[in-house]
Amino acid sequence: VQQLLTLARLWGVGTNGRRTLTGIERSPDVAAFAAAQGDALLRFAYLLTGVDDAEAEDLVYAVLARLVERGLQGLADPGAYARTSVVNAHRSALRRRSVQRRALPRLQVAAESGTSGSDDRLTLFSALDDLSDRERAVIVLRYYEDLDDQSIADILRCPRTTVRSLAHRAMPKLRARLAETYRADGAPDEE
Amino acid sequence: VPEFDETVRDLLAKAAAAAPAYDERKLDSAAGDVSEGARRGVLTPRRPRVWFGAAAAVVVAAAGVTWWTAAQHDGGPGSASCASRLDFAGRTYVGDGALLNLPRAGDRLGVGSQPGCDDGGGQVPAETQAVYRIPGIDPATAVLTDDTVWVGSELGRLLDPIVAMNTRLPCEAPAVGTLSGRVIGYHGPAITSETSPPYTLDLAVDRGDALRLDGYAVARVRLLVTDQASGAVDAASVRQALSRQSRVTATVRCTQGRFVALTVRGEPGP
Repeated sequence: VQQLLTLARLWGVGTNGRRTLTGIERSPDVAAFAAAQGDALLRFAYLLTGVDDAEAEDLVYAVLARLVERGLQGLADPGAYARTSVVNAHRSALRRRSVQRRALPRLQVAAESGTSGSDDRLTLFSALDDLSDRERAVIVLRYYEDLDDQSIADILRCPRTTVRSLAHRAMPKLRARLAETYRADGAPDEE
Repeated sequence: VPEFDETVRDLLAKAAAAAPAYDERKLDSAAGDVSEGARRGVLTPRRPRVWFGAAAAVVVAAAGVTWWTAAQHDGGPGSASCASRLDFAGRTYVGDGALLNLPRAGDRLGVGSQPGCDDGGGQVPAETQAVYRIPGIDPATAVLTDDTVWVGSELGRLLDPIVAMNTRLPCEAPAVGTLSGRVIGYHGPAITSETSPPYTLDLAVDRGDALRLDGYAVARVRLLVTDQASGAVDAASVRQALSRQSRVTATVRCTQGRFVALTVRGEPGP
């Protein structure tokens, strides 16, 4: 009997004999949303997390899986909701790691990829690593997602003035770090 | 400034192009896992969100501004609840993972707990960590766990020892000194097979007489590798050091408190 129950579960058949819906079958509206927004969400998460594909995928698929459970009902803007969840899930992950610990694997991945494109990414992500997670989110939302301050504030769930102050703090740090590599003569800066 | 904005946009767009593509099968698998967890009662009900405004304080502290005042305006009701928070000995501490210099651990004080929270994407379980004294600092002010410094949430201002943890240590070798640590960053021209110094390396230094580590276990140091350095790590070695998180040892001279490499050699990776 146990074996039959195991086989039935593997075949997706419930104990009542009817086939159970698995995964995204339970929520076709979320499946459609994910198909339309999945790539964009992954790019957003990738810029938030660094060059680690797996970390970005973990965040996005976990958030989308929660949406499958929850459904889209009552969400005025599922895209913004998903981005809020990605930002918050990322903060939770960072909470457990120090800057050094999270920086090393990123540098490792970038270094292993070894193309000139990855060097740009290494430089960018290294500069972004100097920002707090909320500063980084503001930069990505403003300069990659092209969102206005109010939309960013809605996603980060903070006042619009906070968005402006986060951007105000982040940009000089970013400018200083990127200037080290993108000086015309290519020479490193001496701090 | 507009040109710099465009540079940032351009870099972000290029970097984003390397992101993984959406794969419906992975969502199907993840959704199945969630469903199975919910069915078995593994997933606990979500709690109301609570914002710990002080969590942002240490971020502001890193920028060296009036951190506590600024923190009062950062975030607000409804922000993510998964702040860096440690509860220990009846006190609440907020974490700072952005320090340049990590202090050595003192006596073990006991076990603290990071409360569970709801990050908007699911429940994060509570966890416990061993708590250590930071020598010379009252545990009511700050404590250490593993590699994170936790600052008392009741502090009205940032104390000097905490500020010092976020200040780069100067090069202090009288003539020639040594440094040893892991490579944690590279700044310079794009790495190709032809790349050679000058460039800079960020090192997590834990040994050497070119700086005074004093009470610190690790200090982040920026090392200038000029074309005058002999035996300097080449581009391939830099990439390898980054990849393997391996160590380098450098002999350095001090120029206005900065570390300038005379020689750099790699050490076997872990």
